[in-house]
Amino acid sequence: MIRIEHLTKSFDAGRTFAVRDVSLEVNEGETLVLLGASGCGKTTTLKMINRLVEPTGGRIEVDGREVQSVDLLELRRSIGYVFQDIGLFPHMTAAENVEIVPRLLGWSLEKRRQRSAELLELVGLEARTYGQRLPRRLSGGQQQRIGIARALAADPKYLLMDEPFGALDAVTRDQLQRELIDLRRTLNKTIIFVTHDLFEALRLADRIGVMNAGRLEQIGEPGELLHAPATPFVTDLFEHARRQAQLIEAST
Amino acid sequence: MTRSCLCILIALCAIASGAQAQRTETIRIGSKNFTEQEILGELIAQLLERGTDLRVQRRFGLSGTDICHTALMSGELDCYVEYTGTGLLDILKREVISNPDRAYRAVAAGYRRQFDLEWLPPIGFNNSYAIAVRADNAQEYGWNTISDLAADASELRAGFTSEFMERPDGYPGLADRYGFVLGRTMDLDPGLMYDALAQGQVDVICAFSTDGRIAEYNLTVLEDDQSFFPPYDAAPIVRSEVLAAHPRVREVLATLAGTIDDDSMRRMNYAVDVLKRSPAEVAREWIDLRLGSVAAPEDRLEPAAGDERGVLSLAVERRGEVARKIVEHAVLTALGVVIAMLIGVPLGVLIHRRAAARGVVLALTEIVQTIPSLAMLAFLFALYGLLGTAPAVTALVLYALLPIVLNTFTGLREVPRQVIEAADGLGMSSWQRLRLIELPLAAPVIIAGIRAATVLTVGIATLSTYIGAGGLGDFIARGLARNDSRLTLLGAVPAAIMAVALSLLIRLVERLARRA
Repeated sequence: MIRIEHLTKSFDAGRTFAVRDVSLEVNEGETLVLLGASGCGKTTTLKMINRLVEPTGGRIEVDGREVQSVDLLELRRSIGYVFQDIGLFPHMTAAENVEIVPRLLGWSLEKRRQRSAELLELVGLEARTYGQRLPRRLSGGQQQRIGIARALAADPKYLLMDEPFGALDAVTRDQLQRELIDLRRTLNKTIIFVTHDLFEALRLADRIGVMNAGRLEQIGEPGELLHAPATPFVTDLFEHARRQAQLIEAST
Repeated sequence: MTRSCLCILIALCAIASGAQAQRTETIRIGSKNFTEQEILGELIAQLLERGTDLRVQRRFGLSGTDICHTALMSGELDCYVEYTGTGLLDILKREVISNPDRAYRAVAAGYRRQFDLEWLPPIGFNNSYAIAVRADNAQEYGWNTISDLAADASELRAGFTSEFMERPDGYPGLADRYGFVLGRTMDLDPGLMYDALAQGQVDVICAFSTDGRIAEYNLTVLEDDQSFFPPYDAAPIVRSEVLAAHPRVREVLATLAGTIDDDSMRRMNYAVDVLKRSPAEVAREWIDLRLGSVAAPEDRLEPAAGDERGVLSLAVERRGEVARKIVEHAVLTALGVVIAMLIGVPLGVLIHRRAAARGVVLALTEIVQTIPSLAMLAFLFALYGLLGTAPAVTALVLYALLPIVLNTFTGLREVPRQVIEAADGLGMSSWQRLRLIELPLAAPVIIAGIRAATVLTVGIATLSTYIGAGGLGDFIARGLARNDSRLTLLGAVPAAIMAVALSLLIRLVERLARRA
């Protein structure tokens, strides 16, 4: 379980806030989606969990241990992270990219090879065909599949995903969303997923946390947010989405 | 990586300790960078080789009096031939003494007291500076004495050696004594001076009175009517402790005393400068003649056999020596570049990570780059008090640093931000990030820097000859000193080929790194 209490990240000696007094819990096995426009603090919140960003206030506990007291590298290696701009290592093959965390953890070569082959198949890439390719010889969708496999390599309990499908075209995005849902069913990971896309959130989330201007507006199951919005912001967000959906329906 | 570091360290230690161990058995003979000095150096070296069981090491072509003197003081040289006037004015900073005997006694006493160096008896000739002009000019303008130049002084162009430009018994004192300043002066290499005068590029030069080319080029030496130039009687200087340890050295070199007069010296210089014979050969002939083992034919001063040979046949004939110089040059270059890499890459990493160090490190390496190579070599030589590899390699390292540091920094800075963030996010330590991600990605740019540094180093290494570090520069300097373009090419062509070959080789490595 991840527990976040009064988490704050401020700049300019407390004059501006990226994240302001956010408290939430992520339960075992659930997918929590942090939803909000760019600059709302959702990515910053995510990065504070594995300390890519250090908070200026509040605390974060992962499995009952405060992250500040855990060895930084150990913490990061124990949490899978999928980056928005993918960030594959361009000089390493797909398989080597997947093997990087096991390598840092000192696994044997044989075990690493076996693991990367397994994971490539899991994300739908045939290991023999794609394993030895450099990232630049893979499509965007294939690259992010590698990114997900890399995050899963050391079998972490938690997976942090920062707008992982944001840069992909609509068809690929749809396909990867579906695959993620399948993957989650087989792997039983606890996932925090950041997006600005309400439909993506609705599709993937067990619960949604809506963020605005650094604050957490409301957190709850999709139905709860839809039927009992707690703030005008959440109301507007869903109203806007509803109108878009009607527009799409009307035009078909 | 660590293993190769160790190898280099061991090699450096071996060089250093080798120098130490040799000191007991070896006697090092030096010479300045003009023909007469090389002949005299050869004479002394060959006499000692025949007359003692010491191992003789030659360190010829050193650029100027100061380097020879400093090397003698630091024990890097044991003996070289100096001229009384030079010792008196240039080293001891005394007044001119016109009487040759008194000048010799004064300089010998001064050296013994101040430096513990001993002047052996004079060899016999006086190689004075001589103001020389073209004979046709002398006739046309009626120049007979130096004073005669005064009327036309502001119109005249002079080509003087850099040493003459600065010495108190050179141009400054001359201008002072005669009361005129020449219109334009040019610092010229001693070997080029005569050609420049003969071709009319300059009007006046500071010839050496024993130079064979005075007659060859039909020059007129102007009379020193104000008796400005002191006597320059040549004599070997030897470190006193060497004479004490090896009394035989004194006996052997005593055979030189008073044996070579002005004319004999001029003929030997002529044989080398004009007839293109080697100093070693001319020296050997003279010794054979003196020791009576060979008759004294008058036709000795003929051109060397096959003098008109081209550079190729010269290269074939001297292939052993060429090969040795190429190896020396390659070793100098390799040491310079490898040590520069060992320092430069970590420095590049440092300034990438610590912005505070960036300005200082880049400014320093850039300033080093602007120091003229010869000044750098002279300075490092003074700093080390050593001739040869150590100061030469240090200079090469300093020049090679900038491209390596700069390219390491640039290469690291160009690693995409999201790749760095991914490396951090996956839990790499900063050392792991450097080793697994940053250096491999920056490698092509770093290797390009190393390539630039290597080409630069091959070029600068040709100047190492001026502090006796050997390499292909030896041929270039000798060619310049003797005005023999074949010799210059013998050094310059292999150096150019080496630069191009290394550049291509490293470019290949660079391409491989880029593909990975």
